[in-house]
Amino acid sequence: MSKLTSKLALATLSLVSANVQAQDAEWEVDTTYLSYVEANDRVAVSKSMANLKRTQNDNVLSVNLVHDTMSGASPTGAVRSNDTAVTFTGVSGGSGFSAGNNSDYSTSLFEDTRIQAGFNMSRPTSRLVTIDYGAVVSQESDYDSVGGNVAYTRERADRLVSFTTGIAATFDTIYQSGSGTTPQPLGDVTRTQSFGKGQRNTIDALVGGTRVLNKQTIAQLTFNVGLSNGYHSDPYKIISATDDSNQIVANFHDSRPESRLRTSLFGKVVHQLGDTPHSVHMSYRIYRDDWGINSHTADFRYHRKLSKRQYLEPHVRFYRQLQADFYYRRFKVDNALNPILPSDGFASSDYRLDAMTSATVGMKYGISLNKKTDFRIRAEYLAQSFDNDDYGTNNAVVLQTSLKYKF
Amino acid sequence: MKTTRFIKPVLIAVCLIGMTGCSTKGQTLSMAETKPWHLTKVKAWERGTLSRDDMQLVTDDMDLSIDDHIYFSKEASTGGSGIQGGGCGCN
Repeated sequence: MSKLTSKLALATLSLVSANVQAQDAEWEVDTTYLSYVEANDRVAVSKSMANLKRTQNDNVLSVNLVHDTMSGASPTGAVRSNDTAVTFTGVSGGSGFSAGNNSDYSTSLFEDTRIQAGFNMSRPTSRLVTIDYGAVVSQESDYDSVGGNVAYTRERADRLVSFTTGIAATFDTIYQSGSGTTPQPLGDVTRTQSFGKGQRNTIDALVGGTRVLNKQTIAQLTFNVGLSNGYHSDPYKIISATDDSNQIVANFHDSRPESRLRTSLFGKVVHQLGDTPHSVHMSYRIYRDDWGINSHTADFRYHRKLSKRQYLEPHVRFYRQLQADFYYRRFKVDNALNPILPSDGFASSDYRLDAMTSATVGMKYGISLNKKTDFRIRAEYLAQSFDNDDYGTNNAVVLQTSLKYKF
Repeated sequence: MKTTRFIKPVLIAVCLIGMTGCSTKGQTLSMAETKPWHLTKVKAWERGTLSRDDMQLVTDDMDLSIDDHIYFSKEASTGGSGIQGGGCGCN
C-alpha cells in the first residue's frame, strides 16, 4: 500500500514539475495596411499598423505601432457660398492646415501625419483572475495624446461567467498646427484672439461581463462611463452668420462646453449556426451624453467557412445619432445685420455633431496560407447622411489587407 | 421619435437573420439544436465550439482598432466593448 502511495506521489510530483516548467515564448506579428478615401476629394487616410505579441505562461505582452497620413479638404462648418460679404483669411495659419479656394470657405485643405505607439500586458495572477494594463501615446502636428489603462477580470470557478472592471485616463493637448495656439471660442475669425494650447483630461471606466449561455453561444454586456474636462472645441471649425439671402455676414470660431459626460451600454452575442462551422456576431450599443447626443448602433457579421482554411465575412452596421444641443447650421442676424449669438456661448456647426444616419456594408475574406501565416483582405463602404449639414452626405471606401505570422 | 423609427426595422432585420438561420447548399440551417437564449450548463469538455477562433468575442484585434478609429473620427459617439485607445484631432 505504501509502495503504491509513494508511486502515486512520485507520479504526481513529476506531473506538477512538468507543468511548472516555463513554456517557450510564442511570438506573433500582425500587420495591416488601410486606405480610407472619401468621395469628392474630402479626406484620404493611409494607415499602417503593426502589432507584436509575445505569449508565455499565459502572460501576453502586445506592442502596437501605428502610422497615419491624412490629406484632403475637410468641411469647416462655414456655409457654402461663392460670394461672401466679409473677407476671410483662412481657418488657420498653420502649414499643416490652410484655407481652401478663395471663394468657398466651407472646406479647408489639410495634410498631416500621425504616429501612435502603445503596449498592453495581460497577466494572470491566479487561476481565475487576470490583470490587464497598458499605455498609449500619439502625436500629430496639432494634437498630442497620452493615456494609460488598467483592468481586472475575474472568472467564476466553472469558467462560464467572467466579470471585468477597468479604468483609463487620457491626457490630450489640442492646438492649431504651425501657430500652436487655439482661437478664442465664438470669436470673430476676422479679429481672432489666440490663446495657448488646449488641454483635455478624460477618465473612462468600464464594468461588464461575459457569460457562456450554451454550447453554441457566448454573450457580453458592458457599461462605459467617461468624463472629460478641458478644451473640447475644434480649433479649425467655424460657424457662419448669414442674412436672409444666405450671404455670409461673419464667421465665428467653434465653442463647446468645457466638460462632457458620456455613457454607453454595449451588448454582444456570438452564436454558432446549427451544427455548422459558421457563426454570427451581433452587437448593439446605446449611447448618451450630456451634450444631447443620443445614438444607437447595430452591428452584424456572418462568419462563413468556405473550406478548412478559408472564410468569408459579410458585415452590416447601422448608426443613428441625434444632434448636439449646441449644434447650429448657421447664426441668424437682426435687422441691423448683427449676428444673433447663443446666450450660453456654446455653438458648433461640426457635421459630426449634426443628427446623422450612417450605414456600412462590407465583406472580408481570410485564408490560412500555412500553419503560421494568415492573410485577410476586406472592403467596406460607409454612407453617412446628415439632417442639416450643407454637404448632406459623406461616402467613403475602406480597403484593408492584413498579414499575421506566428513564430 | 426619428431614432425609434430607424432602429425598429434594423432590430427586426438582425433578429430575423440571426434567428431563422442561413441557407447553405440548398439546406436551411435551423439552429434548432440550441437556441441562442437557452441557458444550459456547459461542461469543460463541451466547449470545443466556443474555443473556435470565429467564436471569440473579438476575432480580429486589427479590425476592431481600425473600426473604432474610423467611427470615433466620423461620429459623435464613442465607447463600447473596451476602454483602450489613442486620441486624435481627426477631420
